[in-house]
Amino acid sequence: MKDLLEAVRAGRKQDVPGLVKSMTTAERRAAAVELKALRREVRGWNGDLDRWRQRDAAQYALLVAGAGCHTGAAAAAAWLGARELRNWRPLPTAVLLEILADRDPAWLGDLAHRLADRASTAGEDYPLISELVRIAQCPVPTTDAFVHGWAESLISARPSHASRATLPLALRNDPHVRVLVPRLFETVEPAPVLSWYEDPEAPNHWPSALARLSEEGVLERSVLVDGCVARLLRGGRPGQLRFFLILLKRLALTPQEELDRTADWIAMAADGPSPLAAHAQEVLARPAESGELPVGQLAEMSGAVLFRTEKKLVRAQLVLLGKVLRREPSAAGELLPVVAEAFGHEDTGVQERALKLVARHLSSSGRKRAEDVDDSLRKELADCADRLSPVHRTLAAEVFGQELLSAETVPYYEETLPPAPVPRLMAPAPDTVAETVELVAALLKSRSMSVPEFERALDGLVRHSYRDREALAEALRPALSGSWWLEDASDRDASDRKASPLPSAEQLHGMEVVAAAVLERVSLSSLRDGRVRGGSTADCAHLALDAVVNDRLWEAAHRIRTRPLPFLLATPTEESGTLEAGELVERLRSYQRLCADPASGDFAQALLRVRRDGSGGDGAAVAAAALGTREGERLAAWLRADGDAAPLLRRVHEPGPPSQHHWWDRARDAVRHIVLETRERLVLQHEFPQPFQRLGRPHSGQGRCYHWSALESQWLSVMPEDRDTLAAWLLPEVTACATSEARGSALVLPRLAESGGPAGEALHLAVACGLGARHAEDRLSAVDALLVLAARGQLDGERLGRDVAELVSLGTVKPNRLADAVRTAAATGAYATTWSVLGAALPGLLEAGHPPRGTGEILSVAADCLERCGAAAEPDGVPEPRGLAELAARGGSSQLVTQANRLLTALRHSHDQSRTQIAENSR
Amino acid sequence: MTRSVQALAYSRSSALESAGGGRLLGLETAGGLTPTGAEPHPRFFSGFLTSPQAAARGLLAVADVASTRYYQRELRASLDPVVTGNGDRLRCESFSGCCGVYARLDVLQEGLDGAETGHGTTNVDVNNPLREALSRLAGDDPLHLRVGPDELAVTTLDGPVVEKKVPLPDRWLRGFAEAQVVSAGFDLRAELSADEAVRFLRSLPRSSGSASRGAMWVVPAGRTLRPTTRPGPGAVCLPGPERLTALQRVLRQATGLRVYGPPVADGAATSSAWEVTLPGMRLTLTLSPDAARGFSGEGGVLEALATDEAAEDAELISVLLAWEPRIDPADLAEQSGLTVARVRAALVRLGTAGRVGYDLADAAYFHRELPYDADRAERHNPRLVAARALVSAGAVRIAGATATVASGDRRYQVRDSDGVLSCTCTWWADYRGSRGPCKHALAVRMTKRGAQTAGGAR
Repeated sequence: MKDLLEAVRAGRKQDVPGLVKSMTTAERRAAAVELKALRREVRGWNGDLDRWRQRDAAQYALLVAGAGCHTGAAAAAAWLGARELRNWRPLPTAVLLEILADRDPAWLGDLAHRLADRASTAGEDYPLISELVRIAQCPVPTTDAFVHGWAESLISARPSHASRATLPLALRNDPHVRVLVPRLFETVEPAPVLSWYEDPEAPNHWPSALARLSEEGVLERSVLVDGCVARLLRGGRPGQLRFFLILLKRLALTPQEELDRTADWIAMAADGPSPLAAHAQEVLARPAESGELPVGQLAEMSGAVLFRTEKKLVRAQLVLLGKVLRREPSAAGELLPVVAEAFGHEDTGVQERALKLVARHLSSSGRKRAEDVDDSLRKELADCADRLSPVHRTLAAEVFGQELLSAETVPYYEETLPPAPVPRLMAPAPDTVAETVELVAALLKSRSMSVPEFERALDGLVRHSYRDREALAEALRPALSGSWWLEDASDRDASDRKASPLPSAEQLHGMEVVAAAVLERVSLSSLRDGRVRGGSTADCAHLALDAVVNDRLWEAAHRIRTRPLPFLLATPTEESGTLEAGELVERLRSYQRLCADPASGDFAQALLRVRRDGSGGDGAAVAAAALGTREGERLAAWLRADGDAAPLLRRVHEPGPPSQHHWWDRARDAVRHIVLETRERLVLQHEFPQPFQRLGRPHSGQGRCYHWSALESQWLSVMPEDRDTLAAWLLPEVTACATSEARGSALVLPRLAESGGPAGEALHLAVACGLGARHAEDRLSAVDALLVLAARGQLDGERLGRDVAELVSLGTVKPNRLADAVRTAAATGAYATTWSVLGAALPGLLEAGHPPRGTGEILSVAADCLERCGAAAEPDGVPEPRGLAELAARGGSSQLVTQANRLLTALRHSHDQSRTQIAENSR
Repeated sequence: MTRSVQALAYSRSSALESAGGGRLLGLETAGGLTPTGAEPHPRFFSGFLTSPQAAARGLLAVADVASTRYYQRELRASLDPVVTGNGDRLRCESFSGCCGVYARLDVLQEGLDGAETGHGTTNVDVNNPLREALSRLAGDDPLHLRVGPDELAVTTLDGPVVEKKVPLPDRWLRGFAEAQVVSAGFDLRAELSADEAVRFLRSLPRSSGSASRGAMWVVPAGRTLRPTTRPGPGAVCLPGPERLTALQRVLRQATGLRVYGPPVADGAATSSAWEVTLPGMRLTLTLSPDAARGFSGEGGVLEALATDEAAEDAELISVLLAWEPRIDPADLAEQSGLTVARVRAALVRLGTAGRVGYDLADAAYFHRELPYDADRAERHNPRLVAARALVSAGAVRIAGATATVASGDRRYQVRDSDGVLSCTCTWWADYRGSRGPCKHALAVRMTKRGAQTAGGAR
């Protein structure tokens, strides 16, 4: 035993079998215990590369020795199955078989089955298990993982390269093929190897091989057919079912075989993934056309298929029903009510087909039927006609007779918009040290920070430093323990130690600076110097915003250590960042009472946050002026001035030659898009302290900036009352959501829509770009923004519509994405709002004469909106956009022309309606 | 991971057969509790289903959830559904392998052709041939349903024929039980007509691919639900919308959709419940707040379990339960002599032990005893164990409204504001209480309660 352990320790696995063989059962049992201890010890052998290599060799030897020494099959299986010992290598089958050669066959069979039961390893252990089964002559295991391993082994085995038919040969020679092939249809996940080869001529193409074997009689055909059908019936993801559908097609079922499984096909046509349903539909079409399929079953199948969304399947089903009805008009009574199911289909083209089918057969069935039966059928179908789009109303009236249709009334239309967001008020400043500590700890430990959390934590630190910095520091220190900047320099890296005993402000991020100031863990000089220098000067609005937030933090930190502020002036009163003017006046009054000296950055930020929309601003201005302080007068003047957004310059970016750009920028630059430049604002440059002046410089809005900002979540609260300027600065990123794979940048749009300030050119353009974003969640953000603007009465539909049309014609926005977004907006009940945008977009969209692909979808949404809200959209009738009539007259059955016609009908209908209304009103 | 193995022994496989001109759906049972005690093969029902297709599809949907993992799909876990007879209805429950989706089909008296059911809870066998037969079930001829063995079969067969062995991880048990308690805090948020329900459910992504990322939010808008990225009051979280795929099975039979969720405080994802009404039936799916996060880690019930206060009450209440379809706390209060508040606390505790479930449509608990040892799982909740260790190590020091908890070489501050505990640890920073208290807050709670009871005894 000692020799064995030594050999294992040294990793000499070639010696192990010989040593084990010479041991008695009792010795082996004792050795197993020792090996277990050794396994634990070896686990700890890490450190340098040599040690690691030793461990690797020892573990491999352990694996073999343990298999030989464990006398129970369960223990041996557990030992062999351990991932730890094999280190991602396959089991050494030959060595293991040698060491197990003296075991009883029943024991080996037991081991085989136990190994096959281990789901995570049975597949890769197939070679060993199959050998064990062969020696033990036991029944072959049938677990999922084992079956997967078996299937894979048949391909990798490759008995001879000369033979073209590798897989059929391997299958034919396999002793367990009759047991294991049926299991291929039952494993929860299909064996991946089944779909490795797609070419039917490939020697390892599974469907071909199985079909061939059934032709040869090696496998029973019924097993394969039943297995496929059952697997397809159980359902699953399309990828899981693909192989079985291919095999089923390859097996070429006879008409009789197909007919025997009618119920199965009906279920597949109803619930299967599209490709499967299409196949089932094809299979059922044959007996249906020849009359072998009972009408009752055809009706059942049709009901289910017509309920599906796929236009292709629904159309094919309507064609099939048309054929059957032509052959057998008497079936109309049973089949036509099913056809009416398609009246509710979302595609108006499908509705029209269904209606025409009904029209054709309703009259013809009437001739051969008793009058009353026909009447009741007509009535039943007419009841379903409500679900048809208004565009088919005239045809429906012809088919069913006007008197049977529910009387057309001008529906009372009411627009559903989300409630206008109510400003959420900030929670009061943290009253206790404990709460402040908790806020700061949460802020520094989690990665996200919302505006209210950030502001309250900052205000709390300032307030409690003013009251009793010692107490705050004492409570704060344990909560932040573990932060690198709390430790003494001697504990940190040698490189840092030379520089300074205290961290400099630049090494600290965000709120850390202020916390460090409270704890006296940041060098005072670095705070002061940093403020004077003011960071990078690149032409990037994002960096300018960052600089403002950072400067505020540094200023607060500096003041905590020099002349503590009683509290902050700029803390918002609303969670969006807005500050009520009256509240700011009160705060200045408190400062005056406490003889506190306002910090310049804090006050400047407070000014930018003050609401200047005239509501009560004047009263506040008077009160501010009455304070008699410099800040009071400044505030009064600020409130009296009007707060326009930065002036904008709009131009179209034309893609230059691609070589000029970095490859990662090509996607963005290769598409034409609109660029907004913000021009300089002298107020900010002349009357605000240094970091704010950068906000007032011109920003080109061009190019892409490469920086990561931890303070991005605070940008909106820097200028909460100037969203249009912010929208202009964020436009490049939102545009990228439409022109490239960028994701998530449009999420800011609803927050902009909820902020203050005028909603002008930039915000509308940003929303327009967002509506055409690549990813669904970005589009949804734009829809949210659109609805919020509408709910606040700030949406300029005309402007947004023109923007959208321009972006589509530039190629920035793809029509199908835009259609999806406006469909979402409309479907929530905002039909009139959506129409106000689309109505304005139509002239631009149709102008070119050759509208881009997907415009039909947009027309379909526009028509839907107008059909629903009708004259409610524009009481004096909707003007007909130029180009629409020409488009509708083009003929053909393309989506574009169909929907143009539908829209034209809806437009003329709304004209008629408004004319009647005007007539009624004048009466 | 702690887990046990559940061995189920059925006297034969469940099957759908044609018998004597009609069709018979025979669901076989294995193990479970009835009013007369534990039985190997309980019998609950024999009668007709009024809407066979809807019932078959509802059953398939429940079986789908039982056999699916919506997260880390490659791992497998498949357990048979659990059926409860509540006297006037049959409930068929399952819980997904990823611990994030709970499904229940309630077949009400209208769906059972007015017949009554027995009382008790058991596992029922679902196998592949049964699934196939249910999938191809067509027509609306009456279908005979039998839950439990045929009387003849009991006498002719001896010894189990179908055996299943399934691993039962602790977190799965915990999640199954806790999903009930979580949904007890939900309110009805929206109700959709059949047409709108179909439209809405079809608009959801079917796979967890690029189409969906994280949680989706919806707000009731007019007759339908509006998806949004900015949840406001009344919004419902739809975390991992692809997990509602099982509902696609019953779209054609649906008569409406009801949506339940907790009040939404901020933008943090929450769980929600989606109930499709069917003729005489209801199919409900309850989703955890994240596809990657099971119900077991939500910790909403930890406070109730932190002390033994409710344990005795729960024991008392459990004796009074008799498979009621709807538990009335006022009734129980009268019978037990406890206050209604204490009865409610006891029900929460029984819920975590898998002994009551929660029916959203009735807004009431119902009695059912999960045929697993769920109680053990809850006692071994990792956070609870850690909190107990902190208490017994004397790590908690309370001074007024704030307490200090020493854990390792760190000290955490736990603050009490009007009974709500908050902490300075990373768990709190990450979830702000939305996933239950952290171990430090739990330890403080335990210490405070301990001090109170000790003070009271003196």
